[in-house]
Formats: sequence, structure tokens, C-alpha cells
Amino acid sequence: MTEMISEQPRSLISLMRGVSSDFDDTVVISAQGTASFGSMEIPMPLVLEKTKLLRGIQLISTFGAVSSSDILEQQNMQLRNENIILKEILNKIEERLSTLEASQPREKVIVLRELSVDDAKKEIKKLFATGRTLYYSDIARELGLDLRMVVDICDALQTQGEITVDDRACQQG
Amino acid sequence: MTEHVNKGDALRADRIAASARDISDIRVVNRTGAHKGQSTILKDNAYCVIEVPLKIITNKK
Repeated sequence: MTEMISEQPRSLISLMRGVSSDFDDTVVISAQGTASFGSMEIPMPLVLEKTKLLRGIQLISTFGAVSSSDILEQQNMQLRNENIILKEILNKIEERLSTLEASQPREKVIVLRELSVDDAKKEIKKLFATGRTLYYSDIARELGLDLRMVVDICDALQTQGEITVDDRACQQG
Repeated sequence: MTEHVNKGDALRADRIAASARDISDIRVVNRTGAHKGQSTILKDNAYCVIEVPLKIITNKK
């Protein structure tokens, strides 16, 4: 179709191509009308007018692109604000969760050792040798022994005169 | 040392050590006035002992 256009308008079309990268030659040809198309020549004023029109279209399309980018920017800002709010909520939830976790009793697993009575007695005596005042539960926890076994061994040690009740600790409560 | 195994026997002390196969959730109990206490149940092979502070006899001959 471009073969039907004279040399002068062809240079203008290349100029218009420079104006708009997505310029379509068929637009000019269809715009000139069937009468001019038949004479194989496009009048200059018509080309200039169409060039202006195309520039206008380009400007409108640019304006449209700006407005759509504005909308996207607005949506982006909205999402950012929502993100900030959600982060704040998440932080509050994390704080509450950590407070709740701190208030919950923590389970500590003590693996009871299977020691013979003699070995357990030796270890209990060693523990008392540090000079500390100990309850049954302290001994059971520290040595990982069964509470009943600790009580039995401590009774035996009391009978043997190895250990005694700490009266001072009893008075302190 | 006396071991109470009959149903209805009770222990009363300031400090009792306990062990059992299963211990139920601890519940807060409102006692007189502003005092609050806690209660729980020990189940299966429960063992409780009134705690005694013990120390070594150093000057043993």
C-alpha cells in the first residue's frame, strides 16, 4: 500500500514514524479518503492535519498511561499502608503470644536414671557433702532419681546418723 | 516413716513433694478473701511426701 503514496508524503510518513514509534501507515491511507487514494497523491495539508491528530492521539494515550500509573501508584500506597497496619497488628499479636507463653508453666523433662540403691546413696552423700540444705525434691531433681528412692535412702542416712533435719531451715519455713 | 495408703488419708504440710504418672491441669481456686490457691489431681502410682530440709552432719565421729 505504501507504493501508492507519492515521494513527498512518504518522507512525512517517515517523519511521523519518528514522532510515534508505533505509527501505522494504514492510518494515513484510510484517512485520506477514497478520492485522494484514487489520484495516488496525498495532499500536504491533510497529512499535516493527520499528523496533528496522531500527536493528539499520542498525547491522549500518554495521558491515559499516566492516569493508569497514577491509579497503580495509589493502589500501591494503599497496599503499603495496609501492610504497615498488618505489621503493627502482627507485632501486637507476637507480644501477646510471648506474654502468654511466659505465663504458661514450662514442662521440663527429667529422665530418671536407673541406679542401684548403693550408687544412688553414694551420689546423695556426695551431694550433701557440698554442705547444702536439701529437700527430697531437690535431690530427686538434681540427681535424676525417683522421689520414693530418694526418700528411702535419706531415711536410711538419717538412721545411720549421716544426715539430719536442718532446724534453722525449718524455722525459716 | 509412716506411709498412708488408705483411702481418705490426708497430708497437711507447708511443702509436699509429689510424683505421679499423670498430673491433671492446675486450677486456680479462690479461697477466703483475696487468697487464691491452686489445685490438681495426681493419678496412677501417685506418691507424696512431706518435705524435710536435710543437711549433712559435719562433726560426726
